[in-house]
Amino acid sequence: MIRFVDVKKTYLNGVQALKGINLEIHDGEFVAIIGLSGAGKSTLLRSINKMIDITEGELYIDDVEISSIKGKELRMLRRSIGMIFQSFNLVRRMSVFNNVISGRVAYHSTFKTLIGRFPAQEKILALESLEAMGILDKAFARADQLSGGQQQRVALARALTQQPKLILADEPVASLDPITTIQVMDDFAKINKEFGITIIANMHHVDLALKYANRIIGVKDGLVVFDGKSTDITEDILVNIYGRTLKHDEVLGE
Amino acid sequence: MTNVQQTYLKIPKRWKINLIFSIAMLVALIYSFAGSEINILRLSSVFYSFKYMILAYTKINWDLVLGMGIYPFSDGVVYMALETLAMAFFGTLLGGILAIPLGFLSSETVGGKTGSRIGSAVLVLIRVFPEIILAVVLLKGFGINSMTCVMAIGIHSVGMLGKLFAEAIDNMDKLPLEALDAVGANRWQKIRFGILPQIAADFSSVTLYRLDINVRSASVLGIVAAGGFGAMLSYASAPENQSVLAALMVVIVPMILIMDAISGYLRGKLI
Repeated sequence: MIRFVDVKKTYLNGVQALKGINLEIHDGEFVAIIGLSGAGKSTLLRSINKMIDITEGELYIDDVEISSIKGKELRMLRRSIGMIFQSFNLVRRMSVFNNVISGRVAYHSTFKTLIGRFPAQEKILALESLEAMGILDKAFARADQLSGGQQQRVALARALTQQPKLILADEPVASLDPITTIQVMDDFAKINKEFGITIIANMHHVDLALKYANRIIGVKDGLVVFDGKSTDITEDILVNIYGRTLKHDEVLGE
Repeated sequence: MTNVQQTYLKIPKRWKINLIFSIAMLVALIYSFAGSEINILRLSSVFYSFKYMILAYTKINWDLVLGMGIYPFSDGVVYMALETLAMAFFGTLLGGILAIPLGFLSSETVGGKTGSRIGSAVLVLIRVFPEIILAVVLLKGFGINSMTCVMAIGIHSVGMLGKLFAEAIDNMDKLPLEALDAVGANRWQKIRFGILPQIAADFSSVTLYRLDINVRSASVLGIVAAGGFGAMLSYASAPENQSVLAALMVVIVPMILIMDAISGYLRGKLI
């Protein structure tokens, strides 16, 4: 469970990205965070695995307050949280398999990982993750030989190999075409249902968020302005989050 | 006046700067022409030199080339070529190994602002010494033998390799490092899984190119520090030793050509 207690974040340049966030996210949820660019979605998401440090308030993960942890403790926290990025963030010149197994590095001593030795069952785990994402046949291809959608699945396999309880996704489909987007979102749904992993995703497309997530968090100007079931979203709520009605070309369409 | 007319008046006029540069270039040209004893009438001497070189090819002493007959194998030019290649190889290896930590330190990605300043300063200090000067200096410690050449080549190579390694590190894709941070990797694990796989090909390519350069410098470094073609090169400058010059050319030219081709081919494969 993740609990935000009056969390605030002010950047060094004075920008106040989070102005007092109070949230509880339970295990197994599929949460989509929606809102305008600059509303604080990314800051909110990245504060959970401390890619961004909050400046005020308390943030609990499984009842452990994380805002002061660092060093080895921080790395132990991060290894239990998968992260997916808009631009996949794979090493393009490295094989798919090595990219995926790199999700395990924080489970081992520096020396063992430097010489590239991983236990057999972890290599199997990496291959199983690739199989779950349907790209086992690409295991030994170089990452840059894969299409965008396939690369995002490699990133998902890397996250799965961490055996996380939670996956954070920062605009996971923003650089994919509409058809690949649906496939990757289906993969997220599968991971959420079959593996029981909590998913928190920043979403650009409202209709995708409504279709895949059980819970929607609307963020506006550093504050949560909506928090509820995706089925409860109405036109008026969207107007409140985005400041105006969405035009036809701002949703993905069917 | 319209906006267009106002902007028209603001079009930069470069003629003053261009004029100053042109005059400066002209002065430098005249000065260097006078200073370097160039004489148009003597340019035809080039043809004489070429004639000397081509004539030399008719006087190749194959025994000297191959180290046969009255010459022991270790006095033959082919043996010297092998020695030259060995010196270049070990010099490059030494330079490449030393350049790795310095390259990492000098890159902003790994060394940060401070590390990058310190590393770059060290690399500049190394680069300002021409190999031949380094060889003369090292002569005092290592004596007249090929190890002096290896050390000179190695140290000089660090200057260029370290700088290019650092550039490769700073130019690579930083996003995978963000992903490795997110999986909980420490500094060394980030280097192993995020940096090395991205720069290994660049490092190898740059080092191969340096090997190519080092074969050329190893060919002439022997003049000051012995080893390789050194002694024979100074010997060949005397007019009566045209056949020695021929023996050298018949080995050095193809050696460098082949080296160039191999390194070019391998570098093409790496990218």
